[in-house]
Amino acid sequence: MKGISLSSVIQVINLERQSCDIEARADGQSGRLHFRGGLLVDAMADDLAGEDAAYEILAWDHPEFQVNTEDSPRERTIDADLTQMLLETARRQDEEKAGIVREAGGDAGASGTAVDAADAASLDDLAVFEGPETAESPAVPPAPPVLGLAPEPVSGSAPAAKEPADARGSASTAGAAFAGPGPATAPAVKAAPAGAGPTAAPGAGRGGTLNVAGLKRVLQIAQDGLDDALVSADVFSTADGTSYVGFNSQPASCALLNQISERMALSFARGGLPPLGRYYMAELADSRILLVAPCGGVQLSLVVDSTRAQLGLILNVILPDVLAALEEVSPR
Amino acid sequence: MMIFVASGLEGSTLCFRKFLKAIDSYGADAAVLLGDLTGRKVVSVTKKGPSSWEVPIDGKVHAIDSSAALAEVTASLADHGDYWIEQTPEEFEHTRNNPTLVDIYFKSLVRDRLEEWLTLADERLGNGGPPVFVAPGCGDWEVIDDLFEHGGRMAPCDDRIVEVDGYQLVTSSSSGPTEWDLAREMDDRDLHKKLLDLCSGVSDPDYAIFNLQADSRAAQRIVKRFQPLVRTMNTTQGGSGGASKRGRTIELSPRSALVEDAAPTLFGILMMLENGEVKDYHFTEA
Repeated sequence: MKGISLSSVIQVINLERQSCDIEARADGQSGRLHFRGGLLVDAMADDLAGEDAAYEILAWDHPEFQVNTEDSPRERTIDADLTQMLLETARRQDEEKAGIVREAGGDAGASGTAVDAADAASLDDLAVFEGPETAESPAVPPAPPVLGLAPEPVSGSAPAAKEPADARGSASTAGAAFAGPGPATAPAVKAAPAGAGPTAAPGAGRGGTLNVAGLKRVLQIAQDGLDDALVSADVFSTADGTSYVGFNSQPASCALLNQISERMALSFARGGLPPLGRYYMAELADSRILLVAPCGGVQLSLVVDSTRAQLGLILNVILPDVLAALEEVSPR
Repeated sequence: MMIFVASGLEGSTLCFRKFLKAIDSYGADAAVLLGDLTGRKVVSVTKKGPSSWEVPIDGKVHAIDSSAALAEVTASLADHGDYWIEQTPEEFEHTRNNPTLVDIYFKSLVRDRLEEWLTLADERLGNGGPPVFVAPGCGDWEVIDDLFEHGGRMAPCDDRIVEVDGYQLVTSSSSGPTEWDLAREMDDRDLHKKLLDLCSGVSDPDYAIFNLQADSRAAQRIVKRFQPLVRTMNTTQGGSGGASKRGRTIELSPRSALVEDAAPTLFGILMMLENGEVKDYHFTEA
């Protein structure tokens, strides 16, 4: 089972005063936590038992686990407060991380600079060692200007036209969704503007002026140049990955690509590489090419069908025109 | 002073990101995020093989054949307020037939999502900037409450009075009886007593903003008695929101976020307050 954290499950069991067992596994180890009325009463992990076993299991990184709600009475071997144990585990993990980072800095020699623990945590599995700082070392690029959202006054309280809920939300009909809290009635939703065609973007705000017409022109140039080779296109915010304008808009991709661009910029900076140029490209399955061009506070993403347009034409003729238009709207 | 209020994100990570961004974009002096904060559905992602999964969306089962595609689908689920859990078919069957287990997993996912949001808020809002408050709604399980009490950038404001630039924000997530048997429902008489105790701490109603749950007799009586400058109400999913006047109190309801739309939309209210008066207000959409 994945997608859920052991610590949250433990805290819910505690708060809801449940009696159950958790079987956990990680890196070839296995263990079991026993709860009675929400209290952690016993634990076992390989050759450990009681509190030591509990700390061992709580320290495992992303363990797989299964909760069994059958009541299996146990003798109480743990008296420690569960919240305190979780806090203590978090403290130990922080210390361990900081220690690893310090060690990495020390091994690198006198010119090495250790990254602090918070920084390392934010980089996750990226490199945690920063090379010697020289005049040539690229600095982490400054954050791009944030484009504003516009407060859009609505006269009075007239609601937008709504249509009854569509099929979304009916996953239970496929037999694989659990009912949630709150009203059981299907919520009303606005008619979804799915499908092709440019979609409207938020307007201008205090943080800057968003030239929606200019962004639409960028997409138009891409559409004109690529014709039916253009599968989808979006111009999205670097601040939060929200799509401002799109053709066959892919909002989820925008959010994810935004993260990739951010990580890429960090990785290049940390790795001592020059910063990203005007765009990056990926070959996707099914003869698709992905092009992403960060530019100022926005990023352009294009998905192109490579069977319908020559790569040379895309890179040397169409893309320069599109990027020139984008840079006009959102200067680097 | 300009206060931005949004409500009813219903678990949508995209709407939460929009909320964080809107604070800066609107130049708000303070922001308040009201419930319901949590979504209503867990989608079981069934693992069929080393790199294959099945995900039920819109009543259809979609086959997923790469980790990248799965990441995209699960990100989309989160953006629309749904939770997801990856299970083997056996684990799914085991869970489905055990209401206690469903309850534990659902609440754990809700906590995980909120922890993720609060971490994001700490990163995005930084140390300076306007104060940002958060309170659950009457449909939010109480297992999330302790998450707001850890000194993060988003400060809790439920069941208390907080001061912002000379104004007092009074917030309660409790509601009167509803047809939905919500997590924080109370008997109307008990609710009135609770709100009366809470609002008794207000020093000047001209400088008070009441964030109370959608209409109940108790809330109406409290508003009538205290006549605060503003009362905000949250609306149920898809609710239209609006503005009205009760005595000298302006009552404002932001529309709840339309998290189930193709592009989830965040609605809010931007209030301009000056010298104990509402100079202006705007309904916002992002």
